[in-house]
This record gives sequence, C-alpha cells and structure tokens, in this order.
Amino acid sequence: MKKTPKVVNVADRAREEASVAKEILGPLVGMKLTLTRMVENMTGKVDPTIRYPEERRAYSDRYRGAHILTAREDGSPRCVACYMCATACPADCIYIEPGEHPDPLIEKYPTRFEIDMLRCVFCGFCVDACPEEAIIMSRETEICAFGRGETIWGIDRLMKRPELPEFGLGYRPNKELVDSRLAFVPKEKVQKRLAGRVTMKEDVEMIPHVTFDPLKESEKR
Amino acid sequence: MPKLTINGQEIEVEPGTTIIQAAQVAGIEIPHYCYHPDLPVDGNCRMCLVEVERMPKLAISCATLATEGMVVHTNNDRVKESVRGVLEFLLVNHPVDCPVCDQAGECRLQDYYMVYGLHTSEIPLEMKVRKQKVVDLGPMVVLDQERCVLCSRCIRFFDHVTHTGEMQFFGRGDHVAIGTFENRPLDNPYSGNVVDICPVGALTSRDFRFKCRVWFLNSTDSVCGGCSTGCSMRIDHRDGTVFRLLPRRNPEVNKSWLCDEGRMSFHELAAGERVRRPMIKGRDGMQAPVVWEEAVRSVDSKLKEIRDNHGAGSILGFASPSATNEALFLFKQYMAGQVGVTRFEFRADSEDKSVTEQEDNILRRVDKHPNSMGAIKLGLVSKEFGGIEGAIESAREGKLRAGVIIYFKPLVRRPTDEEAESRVAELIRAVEYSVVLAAHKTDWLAEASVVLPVTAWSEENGSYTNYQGRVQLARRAVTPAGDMRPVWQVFALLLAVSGADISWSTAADVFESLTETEPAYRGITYDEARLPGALVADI
Amino acid sequence: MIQFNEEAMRQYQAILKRYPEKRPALIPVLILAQKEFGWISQEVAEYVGSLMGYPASDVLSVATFYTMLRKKPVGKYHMEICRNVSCWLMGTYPCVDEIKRRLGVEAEEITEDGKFSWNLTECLGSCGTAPAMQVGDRYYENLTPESVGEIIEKLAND
Repeated sequence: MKKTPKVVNVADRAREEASVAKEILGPLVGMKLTLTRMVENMTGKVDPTIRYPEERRAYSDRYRGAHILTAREDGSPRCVACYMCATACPADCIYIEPGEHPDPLIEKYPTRFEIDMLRCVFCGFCVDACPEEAIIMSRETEICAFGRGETIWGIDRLMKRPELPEFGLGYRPNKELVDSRLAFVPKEKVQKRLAGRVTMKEDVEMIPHVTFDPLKESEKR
Repeated sequence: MPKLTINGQEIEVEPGTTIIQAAQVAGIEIPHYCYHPDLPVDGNCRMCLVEVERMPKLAISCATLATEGMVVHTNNDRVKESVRGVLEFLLVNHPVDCPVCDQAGECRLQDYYMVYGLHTSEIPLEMKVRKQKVVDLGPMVVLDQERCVLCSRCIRFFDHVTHTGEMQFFGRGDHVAIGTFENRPLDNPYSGNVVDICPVGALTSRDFRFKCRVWFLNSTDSVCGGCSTGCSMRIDHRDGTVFRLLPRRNPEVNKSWLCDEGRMSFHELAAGERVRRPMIKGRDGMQAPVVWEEAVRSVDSKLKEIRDNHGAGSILGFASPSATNEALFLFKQYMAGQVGVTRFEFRADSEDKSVTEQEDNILRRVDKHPNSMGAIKLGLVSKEFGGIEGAIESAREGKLRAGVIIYFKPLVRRPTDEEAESRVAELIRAVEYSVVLAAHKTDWLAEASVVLPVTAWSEENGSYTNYQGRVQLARRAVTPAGDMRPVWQVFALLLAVSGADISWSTAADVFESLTETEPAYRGITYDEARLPGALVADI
Repeated sequence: MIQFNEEAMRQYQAILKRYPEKRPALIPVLILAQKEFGWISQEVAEYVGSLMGYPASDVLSVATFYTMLRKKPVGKYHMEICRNVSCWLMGTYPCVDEIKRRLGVEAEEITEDGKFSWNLTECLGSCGTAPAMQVGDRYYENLTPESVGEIIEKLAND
C-alpha cells in the first residue's frame, strides 16, 4: 500500500518545536567529536603530528627507500649485470653497461650502473628480481639535489653515500645479508643524545645529529 | 609414402623421414638437443623420446624412421616424465650461470625446464663438477666447459661441414669436457656457426659477448650483403643499432650456416663516415649541401642538357652490384626511359665472371657483391665497354661526358677492393659531369659534381638476386641519421621530376612493377621471395 | 721431434695389418706410443694423429677416455697398487703408507730422481694373492710393508 506523504508546514513546525536551548546545545552535541579532539590536542593527550625534520617516523624493516648496491668481501659491487632489475623495472630507470670481469668465476660486472631516481617509483621490483642480493633498498627517503644531473645515481653513490648508516636497511631479500655486505664506510659511532623532546610520542625515531638539542645550542651562544 | 599418427594427427611423409621431422611437418615440436636438420644424427641427448605404440621402450624420434601405421605420442605422462628425468640429469652438474650467461633468453635448458622440468635440484652447489670457464677459442668463440650438455653438435659440425675436426670430447663420465686440442683457437672461416648451434651457453659469440640481453632485441629477416651467395639471415637490432647477424635456415642456399665474414659484415657499415646530405658542386668547385628537390631537378635538367647537346650515347649509367633489384630497376627506368641512355655498366672488377665462382666449397663466393646477378638479369651490362676500364677509356677520349654512378663499398673486404674503388674514382674524374649515389664518404667523393646520400644494406627494404638467380627479400632493420634515401626512391624522385607517371610508395610496389616489366622476373610474387626465395627465369 | 724409431714403426705396421679398417687400430697404436714415449703427451697425440691421418683432438679424445693411457709423465718404475676389496681387506693401505714414507711423494707425483711414481688402481685380478701391485708388466703379490720396501730397494738399484 502506498504511503501517503506527510504534509509539513515548515514555518509552523519551527514555531512549535524550536527553543533556545536546542539551538545552543544542538551544535555542541554535534561537534562532540570535534571538541573532544580539540581538547585532547590542547592538553597534549594526543599529538599525531610529527615535527619533521627533528622527528622522524619509524619505518618498517621492509620499507622501500633509496637503493643500495651491496658489495663483495673486497668491496667491489656484487652485481653481475644480469639485467634482471633493468628488465623488471616498470619505470625503465636502470641503465647498466656490462664489462668482462677478470675472475672467470664472476665473469661479468657492471662498468656503469645508474638509476634515475626521479623516474624511479620505488616499487622494489628490482630487489625482487635480483638473483644475487646485489641491490636492496634502505629506509632513506631524503633524496635531494641541486640539479637534475645529480639525481642519476651511479655505482659510487649507490654503494657508498655517506648518509647510508643513518637510515638503516629496508626492503631486502634476507633480513641479514647472506652473501654480501654493505660497502659504505661507517661513520664514527654517534652518541645518542636525548635532545630536547618536543613530543611525548614513544615510537618516533630520534635521529641524533639532526635532532635539536637545546642545551648544546645554548652553550654555543 | 608412409602414413602415421602423431598425437592423434594423421600425416603422410616421404619415406626416410624420421619421427622428429614428421612431427615438424605436423607442427608439433619435440624437445631435442643433439638433433640438427643439417648435421648427421647422433642420438646421444635422449631428449626427443617419444612413445611409439607397441614398442616396449620409448624411442628417440630423431633416429627412428616413420613407418606406415605408426602411432606416436609425444606428450603423454610417460614421455613427459622421461624427458624430465633426462633434464634432471643434464642439470645435475650445470652451473648456475644464468645471470651472466649470454644464452639466457634463448637457452634450451631454460625453455625446456620451464615446460618439462620445474623440479628442485638434488645436488648442492658445492658438489657440482668444475671445469674450465671463459676459454678463448679464437676471435669468434668463447667456450665454457661447465655449461656444455655434451650434445656433440659442434663436434659434428667441424667433422662434417668444415671437415677440420677441431672439437672433441675429452675425458670420461661426468668429467667429459668439450674443447679443442690444447685449447687452440678455432682456425676456420665458419667457426661462428657453432655459437648458433650450441643449444646452451657453452659456446658463445665473442663479438656479441655481453652486448645486449636477447629479449631486448628485435629480429628482421634479411639477406647477407657480403657476397653473391646471398645467405638468408636475420638481423638482431635494438634502437637503431645492429648487434648481431644470425642465419635463417634456407636449404636451397646456405642451409643453417653463415661464414664468419658475413656474420661480421655489419661492422663495416658502421665504420667510416656517412654521406648525409645531397651536395652539388658549385662554380667555385666546392660542393655545397642542397635540399633533395633542388638536387634532383638539377640532375634531371643537366642530364637532359648533355643528352640534347651531345647525344644519349655520351651518358653512362654505372650501377652498383650491391644495389637492390628495385634500385636497379628504377635506375634503368629513369636513365633509359627518361634520359634515353643506352650505355650501362656495373663491372668494376669482372663481377660477371666471379659471381658464380666459389671461394671455398662451403658457402663463400669470390664476388663480394650481393646483387651482381640482378644487374646482369636487368641487362646493365655493356658489351661495348666490357667493364669499367672501357668506360674510363671512352670518357678520356671525350666520348662519354656524363655518368650516373651508384657506389657501395663492399661489406666483406678483399685486397682487390682498393683497386676496384680507384677505378670508380677514375671514372668520376674522367667524365665532365658525374652524379654519385653513395652511402659512405670516400676521399674521391669531393670530386663528383653531385653527391646524393643513400641508404645501405639493412637500412632499406629491397630484394637481391643471388648467384643462383634466386630473389630474396631483405628488410629494413635500422634507419641511419641523416637525409639519406633508398636508391630506388632517388630514381623515383628523378622520374617524378622528369614528368613520368609514378605510383610507387614502397619498395614492394616497385617490386611489383619490376616483376611485371622485366622478363626474367616475370611472375615472382613478394611472398615467393621470402624464404627460400624464388628463381628468376633463365635469360 | 717425436717419432717412432724403426722398430716401433715395424710394430705399428703390424698393428695396422690386424684390422680391416684404420680406426680400430688407434687404441693399440696409442698403447705402442705409450710404451715408446712413456706417456701420451700433447706432442705424442699430435704425432699419432699425423701418422694415422686423424686430427690431434680425435686422438686425444680417445686417449683421455682411458685411464691406462697416461696423460701425465710417470717415473721409470710406475707402481700401481690395487685398492679394490680383497686387497684392501688384506692390507693395501699400510703398504701405501710405506711407499709414501720411502719415496716421499703423493700419488701420481714423480720422485726427484725420476725413478718412481705410484698410484692406486682398480682390481688386478690377483685377489687370491692380495694385496697386489703392478709395476710395468710385472705383478708383485702378497705384499707387506716390508716386502714393498724390499721391492723399492731392488728397483732403485737396477
């Protein structure tokens, strides 16, 4: 049976049902969630903002950041220029030139290995494709340059850039590297200073040398 | 004619056909390593096992003749399991070299493993037998003994095709290794073929080593431009660079083989500077670049001027025996049809005599041009001159005043090349007005009145006529940078400028006209000129 | 230049006469070559190949198939001690130790004076008189470490 629509006169209804209390409390009730959040933020109970660069988010062990080319025992790249990564790459950003390696057990090595970091989509297919554990990814996200030319990373940069130790290893086939090691020259051990905390959050990673230390700063002055 | 059934398909074959050949006729591929259609049967790899009904054991299809009423199964469970077993044995000591091995992507161990194998190896890497790796067997071949699957194709090639017996098995059991005596380099002009026939990466090409992964390459069917044998081959290239040449099997011409010089002939193309723009010599004696339109109009009007003043007999059409049939056809159409030229030549070095002359008894011929026979069949021979010397003589006497010369440098070099080239240079100096169509710069090119840049072998579509009179298609693989045109297109332009009615837009169109016009080529279709090529009429 | 002397040439011709085709004669000819030259070196293989009309790789291929066609030089007295079941049970290895002690070389190595070398070999068919060894065409049976020492002394004085 078809329901007959109820005929409403809006002006009449307003007169009958409106009240000042309703007008004031109504929005407050509706904004309950918003106001609760506001109070939580103001009192410091909740602080979802990460104040980059003093604070950094802790990335997972499988995070796909900038690439690392691993090394053999003698420091030469582990890569044998098999082109699996170049073939798998959906962005076509890996350029390799192979060369003949004097050791017949190794046979092939890359004379040039370049990744165009601006084309790269950080999908990790290259790490998946590599049969030699030669290319892995770190947790580094800070790729900056003064010009486009600097964003094409060659073997040196991929193996030995000084920023490597800070960020830690990310996406890689084995948790501990099996056949290879990292080629970078490790910096001196940096003291972990508890800098002036600007957050109450526990799981935010504090990067020592870039974290603001008010004591030290005031000493300088 | 025995009738047999393979996988439920009934076919009829010639007597003397083996099952593997019969399966190929039926379109069924049987996995194999040691069998090769152009080598004697060995039967040692045991991969081509098939089940023949009423035979108690599986039979090797490469060595079992197809007989009347035979029922063969090539892919039932029993066969698949046996093939898998053979593969497992072959892979026991095979090194895990795929990342560094050039054969990856065209390796039959990889291919068959993905279809029949997919098993896990039971042998740890440390237990595999070690042999020599990266052994240089001459300038063409690199040997890796560990990768060899002992199919003996290379041994049979050197025993039965080149008759040099250079490679053999040494040792016994799982220490058998392939090699030459004392690892001496291979010393015959066909050594590159073992790289093709090796089904795995044991014998790889030194020239192609590490240059490019094969899955990046595009293949184009073509014909070798090295000599008048005209072996069917395939150009593998990527992004405008040729990486290697491989043979295509043509039982009528080259079977499955190529000579080493032909294999390397593409390097000659890249050597030397190219002519990139049309040039006309001005009144000051210096050549200056012009656009095609201007060049073509200038040539047409000048040739006609000389013809009107001195007669059509004062112009010579000197073709190149390396130009395609299409090029030579339109060359003749323009020169004879529009300008009225009656004097044609193409012989700088008695190519008409050497075109069928063998250099060895396997493949090579003395004439290092791919289309001398085409020039002969199209009638570009002058009885009057008997060769280029006669033409030079005539020019020096003042009878020949102009010449349109097509010149391509040979892709396979011989000591007589320099002399032949110098004769062409002499001819250009001897005539007053010379139009030269060339691909590569030479030092004498600056003396020509007009230089027109053209594409060379592998850069244009066309056909060549080999020493047998067999027409084969060569397709374009790469396009050079510059304002070059195919030779046939240059003459099509000249014909257009001269007022003829032209309707060709591709080389195939010109081919069609050629087969309609020239008596020797009548009736040959474009499709017939693919593998194995079509013979011209005996004229 | 390696080649057969007159006597060896005569024997070579005699071998060829035994076979209707040349190919089967290759193994006996190689055995003859080994007797003449001591071992099948690369030069010997090339010589036999040129003599019989086969490529050197073919000859070497046959030579490398058979263990008894030696591809490495051996001493004047090459001792081959059986290492199979009977001999082993009856005490091959103490004899081997004695040999090693006396000669001071490992298997397939030659002593400094070029007189002795040894290796282990398979069953000599002399199981009843185990342990046994073969020097050239001669069997030495019922070996003990002492008797092996005596044999070495006797051969050294020859």
